[in-house]
Amino acid sequence: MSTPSNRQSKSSNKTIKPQDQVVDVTPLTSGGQPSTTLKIESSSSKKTSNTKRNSEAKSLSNASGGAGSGETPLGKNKGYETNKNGGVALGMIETRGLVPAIEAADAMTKAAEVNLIAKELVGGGYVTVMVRGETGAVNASVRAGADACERVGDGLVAAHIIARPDVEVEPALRGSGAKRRS
Amino acid sequence: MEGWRQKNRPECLEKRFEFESYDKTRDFLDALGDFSEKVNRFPDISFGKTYANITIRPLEDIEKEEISNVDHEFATQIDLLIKK
Repeated sequence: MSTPSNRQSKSSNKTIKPQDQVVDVTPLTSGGQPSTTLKIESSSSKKTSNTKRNSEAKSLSNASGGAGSGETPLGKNKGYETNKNGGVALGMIETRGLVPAIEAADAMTKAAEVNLIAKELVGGGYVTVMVRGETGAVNASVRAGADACERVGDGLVAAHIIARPDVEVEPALRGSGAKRRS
Repeated sequence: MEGWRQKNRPECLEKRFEFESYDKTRDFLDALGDFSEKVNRFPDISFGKTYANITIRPLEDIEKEEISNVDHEFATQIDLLIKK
């Protein structure tokens, strides 16, 4: 998997002080890009320090477009550990058709600080999109997503929020790689 | 606490709320979201256009994870959201 052009290289700049660094969690995208790692930027320079931030991204491959469908177990993804106090909730919206699913995903990620982890083509025209994040954020984002896809045709089938998903569920959250039939 | 069912495996309290329209479902979910933020406790929520299923699980930080009076009180508070 190639490194996206906008991702900064691992070349080190040891002159950057730790207090000048801004640590941010890059949201997972549905475009299959390896964006599940920490993005570190300097306020004084665009160069980055030498970190392990790209090590996990290399193992992510995604045939379905769901960014959670890589080899790395989600529980090991540091991108989800933004707030241990808030936990990592799971939000899912199932829609009838792809358009409401995309509309829902767009609304969810705009409404709150959540990561879009997968888009799954269930079959029979049903599509599921999943987000993860802090419990309150997931709650708000799923409501917004349901609102959005409810407006698009006959889109909303079901929505579900799990405040504390068990770790055993996490492998099931990876996309299956299902593709549309041509 | 009318309509709530207590299950043992896994320990939880469940209730299905039915609504006439999506707008009313949404109003309830908004109220529930605000209430959850206020008390910093979030139930599992499953909803469609005209229904919402609420599942309350025991608090994680208590020694023995089972439904307690605190959970029943939380369920009662959720019932009150409908009446407001």
